[in-house]
Amino acid sequence: MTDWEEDFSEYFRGSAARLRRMAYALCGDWHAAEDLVQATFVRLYRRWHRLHSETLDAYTYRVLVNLFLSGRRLAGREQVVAEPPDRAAAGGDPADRVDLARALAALPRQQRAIVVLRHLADLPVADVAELLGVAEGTVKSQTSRGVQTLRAALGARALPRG
Amino acid sequence: MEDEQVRALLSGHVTENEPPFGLTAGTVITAGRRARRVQHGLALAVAVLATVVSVPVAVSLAGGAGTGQAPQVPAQFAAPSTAQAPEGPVVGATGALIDQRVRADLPAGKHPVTVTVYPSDWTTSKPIPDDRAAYATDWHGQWKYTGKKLRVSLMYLWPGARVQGCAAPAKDCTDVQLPDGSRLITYTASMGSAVPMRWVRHHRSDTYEVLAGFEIGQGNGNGLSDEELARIATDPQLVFPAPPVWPSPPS
Repeated sequence: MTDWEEDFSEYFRGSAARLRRMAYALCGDWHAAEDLVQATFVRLYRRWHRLHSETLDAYTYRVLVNLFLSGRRLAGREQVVAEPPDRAAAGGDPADRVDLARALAALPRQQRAIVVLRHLADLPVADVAELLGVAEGTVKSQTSRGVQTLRAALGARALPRG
Repeated sequence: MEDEQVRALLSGHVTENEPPFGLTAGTVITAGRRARRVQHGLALAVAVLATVVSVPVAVSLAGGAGTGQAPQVPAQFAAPSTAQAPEGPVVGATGALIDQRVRADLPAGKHPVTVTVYPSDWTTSKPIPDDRAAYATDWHGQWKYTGKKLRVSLMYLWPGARVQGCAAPAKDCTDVQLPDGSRLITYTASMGSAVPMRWVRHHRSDTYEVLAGFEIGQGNGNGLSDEELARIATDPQLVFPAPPVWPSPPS
């Protein structure tokens, strides 16, 4: 492994799990989420020499979200998973999980991406706007609509008004 | 409060039933290497195919036998988009235009060597990724000219940006208003460099300016005069499209 591949590996180890959670929030399926993460890192690998540490996270988010928004077909990807992932035992209230998964899936893709970037990745409005190439006002309005939709789907128990 | 609850819900949603991670750095690197080989293979295939089809086309154009139809490149040989990314020190069409204009504005007879032309923005003093060039708020170029450093910057200014006039640390400075209302500020400053530079700043509006600077070395016989720097700074073609989204102003 070369020096830069060591750097790449370190970045992978530090960010892949977080990215997979974000991908899962976007697509609602762990297998698809892992596909998205793999496609994202393959793209990063190909461009690694041209990336800068200051903007690396933003670029990574952008690739992941763009792959998700473009609905790129990943079915034909190579199976390079070292070990087939096991399923962990389910925890929490299954009804709540199903509700949130359905509510997220009901959001339009870009709106879902904005809600996830704002509230899971915890990015500021300006960063989300830049990342998606939309106006800050669009991010604010789409976040508000997305949260309203989630509230309507989940009821007052999860997202009380105000 | 509501934001925190949304965060807590989402965070719980993506962690409470999280399966083990099947990917490793090694497997991704293997896939990345393979993708690179495929990319290079496709680029080579395109080059070979272009050579193969260009021969009969050339024969046809020269009056030889042919069908008269342009050869169709099979879709599977279309170059991947990443293969079209600029690889040189000059980034993209905007970088090429800047390089071309600066070269045209320099006095004839001496040949500048382009070191780099790259996009950047308010949030960093370094280049931004090439594929973010459309979001650049500034472009910076550097050339070697008669063995000394020439720098040119094209910049959109953030709201409330302070206009650099003749205040210290600028030395030997003049600030002239041109007939079109723009300002031409000429001064000497180090600007973080060990060697002082002579700068001409064309403040074209409250939102846009172009700077040209040249290293002041020992014996400035091969230097650029203020007028020659001003010719670059005032070149009307040294412009680039505003980004579709403005980054946060620098703090």
